[in-house]
Amino acid sequence: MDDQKTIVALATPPGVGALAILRISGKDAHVLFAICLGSKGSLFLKATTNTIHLYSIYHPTTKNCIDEITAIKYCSPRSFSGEDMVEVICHGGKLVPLAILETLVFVGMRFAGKGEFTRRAFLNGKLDILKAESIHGLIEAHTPLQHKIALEMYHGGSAKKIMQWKQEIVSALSLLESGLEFPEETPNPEQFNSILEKLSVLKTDIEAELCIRDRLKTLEKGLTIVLFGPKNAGKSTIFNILVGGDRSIVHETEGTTRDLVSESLEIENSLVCLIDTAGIGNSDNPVEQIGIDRSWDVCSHAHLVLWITPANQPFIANETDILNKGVAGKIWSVINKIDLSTDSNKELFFKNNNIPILSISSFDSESREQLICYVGSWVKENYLDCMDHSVMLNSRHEDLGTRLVESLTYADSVAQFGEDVYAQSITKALLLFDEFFGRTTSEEVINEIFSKFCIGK
Amino acid sequence: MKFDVVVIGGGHAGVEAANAAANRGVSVLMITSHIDLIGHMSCNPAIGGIAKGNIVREIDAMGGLMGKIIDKTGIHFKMLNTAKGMAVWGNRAQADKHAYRSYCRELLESVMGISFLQGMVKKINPVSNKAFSVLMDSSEVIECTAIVLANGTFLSGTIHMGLTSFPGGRTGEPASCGLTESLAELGIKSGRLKTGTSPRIDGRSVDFSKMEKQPGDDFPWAFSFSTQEIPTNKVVCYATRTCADTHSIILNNLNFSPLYTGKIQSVGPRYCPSIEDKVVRFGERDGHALFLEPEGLHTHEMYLNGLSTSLPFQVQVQLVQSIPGLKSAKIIRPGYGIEYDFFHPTQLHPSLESRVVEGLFFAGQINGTSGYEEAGGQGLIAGVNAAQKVLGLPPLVLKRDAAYIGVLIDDLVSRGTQEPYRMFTSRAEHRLLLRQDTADFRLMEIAHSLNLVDANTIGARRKFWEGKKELVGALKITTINHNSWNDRFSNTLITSQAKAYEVLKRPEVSLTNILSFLNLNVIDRELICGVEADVKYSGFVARENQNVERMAKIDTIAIPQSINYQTIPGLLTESRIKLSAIKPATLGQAARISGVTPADVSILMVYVAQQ
Repeated sequence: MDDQKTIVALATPPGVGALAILRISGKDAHVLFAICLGSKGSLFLKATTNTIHLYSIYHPTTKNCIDEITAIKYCSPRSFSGEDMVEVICHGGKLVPLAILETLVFVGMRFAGKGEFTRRAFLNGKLDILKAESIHGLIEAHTPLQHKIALEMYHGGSAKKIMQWKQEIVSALSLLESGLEFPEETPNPEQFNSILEKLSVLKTDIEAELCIRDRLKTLEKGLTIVLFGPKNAGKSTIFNILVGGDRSIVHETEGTTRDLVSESLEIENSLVCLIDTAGIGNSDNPVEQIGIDRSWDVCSHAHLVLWITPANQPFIANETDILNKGVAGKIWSVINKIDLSTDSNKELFFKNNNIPILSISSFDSESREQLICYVGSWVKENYLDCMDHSVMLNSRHEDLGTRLVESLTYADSVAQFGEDVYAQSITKALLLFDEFFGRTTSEEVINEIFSKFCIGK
Repeated sequence: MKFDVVVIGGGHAGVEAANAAANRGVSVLMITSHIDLIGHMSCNPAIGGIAKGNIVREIDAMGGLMGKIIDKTGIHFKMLNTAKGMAVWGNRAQADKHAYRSYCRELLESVMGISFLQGMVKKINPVSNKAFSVLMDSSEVIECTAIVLANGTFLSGTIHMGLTSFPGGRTGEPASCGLTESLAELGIKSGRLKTGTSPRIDGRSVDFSKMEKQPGDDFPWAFSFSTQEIPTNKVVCYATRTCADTHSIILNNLNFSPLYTGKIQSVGPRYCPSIEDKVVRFGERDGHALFLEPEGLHTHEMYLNGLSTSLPFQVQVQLVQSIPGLKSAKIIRPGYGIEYDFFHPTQLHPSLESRVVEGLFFAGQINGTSGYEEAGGQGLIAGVNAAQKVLGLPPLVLKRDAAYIGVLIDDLVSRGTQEPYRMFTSRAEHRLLLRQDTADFRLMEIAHSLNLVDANTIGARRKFWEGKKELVGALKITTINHNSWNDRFSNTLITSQAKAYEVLKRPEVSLTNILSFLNLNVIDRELICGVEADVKYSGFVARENQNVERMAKIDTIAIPQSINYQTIPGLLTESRIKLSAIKPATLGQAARISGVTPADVSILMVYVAQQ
């Protein structure tokens, strides 16, 4: 599929519709198309670029008229693909577009391969690699999040930030190099330290983005939220409320849930895996104890532990200990059964430990909304920034970030050896962008030196 | 008359070309328009500088003359960047420019096998694929097998001073006309560049008390590896600055500037901008540094470095006199701009031989470079390869990791140039391997095998390398006790006992301290600096060598010259055009062409492998 032949494809989805659009691209696009226009062929060849006209399309040997169409003519290089192009608007349906396609193939075009128009646009320098990547992403997006990411990329959001990083390295390096190449004209002994500082800020910035990327990946895979707490606190009831069904067995007997029960749901556009667990409390029952051990294990991998504790009971023996050390840092509390009594002692404890609190009664009809809203606010608080603002949108971006941090860290570690060694390692960092963008940039530093600094005897 | 090699031009490229070719044992004729001006310094009277100093060392390591001449005739020496890491040290010297050219001629005349002829070449005729006839303006015809073209700025040179312009090669010398047309007829494409030079001032009219003294080094370094006597400083230079008055004089007279009235269309060097450019483009600066450099010991003429201009003479007088210390300065020679023809170097093989005309070699400013050192380096390679051609031997091509000269030529033939090309250390991706003090180690054995360097010279250097090795060996087996070390050098503490070699690797520890600690008496400064740098850089050099190896692989994959880039699927359109024009010899060279992407290189690699 990699020849230079003129290609043609249906640009609209096949099937019934009022109109269909065919796209043609290649160096013979205009001539081959004109052959199918009968006596008006020469008019088409003379038509100015970017104009639309009415024609009839004929099979060149049978002379049968196939359809009345309009055609837009584009001349290289000012077209999507950078080649000569035609966009044909014909009548829709199954038959007409197919007949036209066959005619165009008959005169010497061939069916375009998958993504071939975009590929040609890329090869002709009409699209950069990021844009091409994002078009692919847009077509392939399956979830709202993926779509959002691809769209962001298409609009160049992430490219802008990456270009900015690159620009910062270019400008630091050009400052450094101008000092090395022209020591007598720009003597500035403080300069080296200021460059070191600048690049260390950049490194922190990239590290922060990598951190966001990590969370974004988590988000794409799904968030794990574990319901945990003392026995008989109403965990399974809350589980069922959240997933909206009788998924977990609920009974007033302590220790009803022994094995893990999990279910997926969507909260704030994000995939959440909710896990119900066996509650804690002293247990002599070996099976129940295994369940509790498993609960512990799953908590350590969870992104959020919803600590469900009843309002009508005091903290059980080791509950506060566990809260203090066990799964600290990712606990949000739910005080359940407030219809029975309120234990202000618990609220005070959570407040003092900076643990958010939701007080509900699981029998209340509003409890579902309250719970969803509560969990939703946790999602937003922890992941909203990476949904709205993410620079590294795929593994290629992440790889660039990781390697940039590595290079900058290495450069820092050798800075003491001298500016020559340091400059050399920063140059290596810059080369990572070449790989990323698929083009060479070696002239950029020198260009920058001369545009920014007045140099030269 | 019949010669193996004819060198056209007696500048810094021509001199090295003639010397190198003659050392290869072929007969050489140097044709120059003015025999008294062989090795003339037409711009500033200085040799070397950052990166340029390294080139001089490389020329010297390969038996060239530039280093020896400047060591003998230099009057002010300074090693630049000594605070910044040895890979970017660069030696620079001011020359007595009259002494420079007379010693240059003296050395050249002492080389066996070089003849000289004063005159202008009108036309070059390839008679067959192994012979040329060179037509002189005196109608004399010279036959030869190979030609090195080293015409500098003489080809269709136009000198500009204000709005007047006239043909000229350098001020006071005629341009060479007709040769460009003769080469164009052979199918070689030319372009046009611009450069400029500064006014020369009468030192007797300068108030030096208003300027800052710039002395040379207390202990100057020599350029040549065979110089025994350490050169001495005989003069000082002076620094001053332009001021607001200077800038307004320039801005008020831009309508007399050929640069700003559109009279000069060609591109000048960005790193050596005219003062007009500096003021217009960087107007926010309150002043631009200027340096006053003596042109020789027996004259008061001084070069006003940093004030390259093509403004009219009267304006030059005004602006010079607005500068502190130059209030009553007299201009001896005004500055001028010059436009000249060059030949796009992408038409050359990496040997500097034309891809269009076999046996025709190009060196120096006609390849679009600037600077004596860049010219000399190319001249040497062109001279060697012209001789190799005559002898039927393969050309000498230096790699980018072996020499700045290799970087220079590879850049020229792979990327071409849009402005006069000057070397920078940052152009060399492996600059840590190209330290100025290791040029001999990198190049002298190759040069010796080609008979460019004699047995005595290399013998002395081998002894030096041996000495370095011995000292490194001693450091590797000697242990330093940390307690007694820390007692003596409390600002560079070490935590446990270690080999001296490992201690020296630390950035803050100097070899001088280690030697004194170990009671080792080494006085050779070159040896101490060399070993210190070798040890300190060893880790980075190892890292660098990995990159070199990776690159070396694709550099050995030859691309058939018959390849048709139009038929290779998947290449970027822009790359296709560039590859077709430059016809790279290897995959490595293809990868270095600007705009050719890594993906293109992969496609090419597969394609070449399939063929």
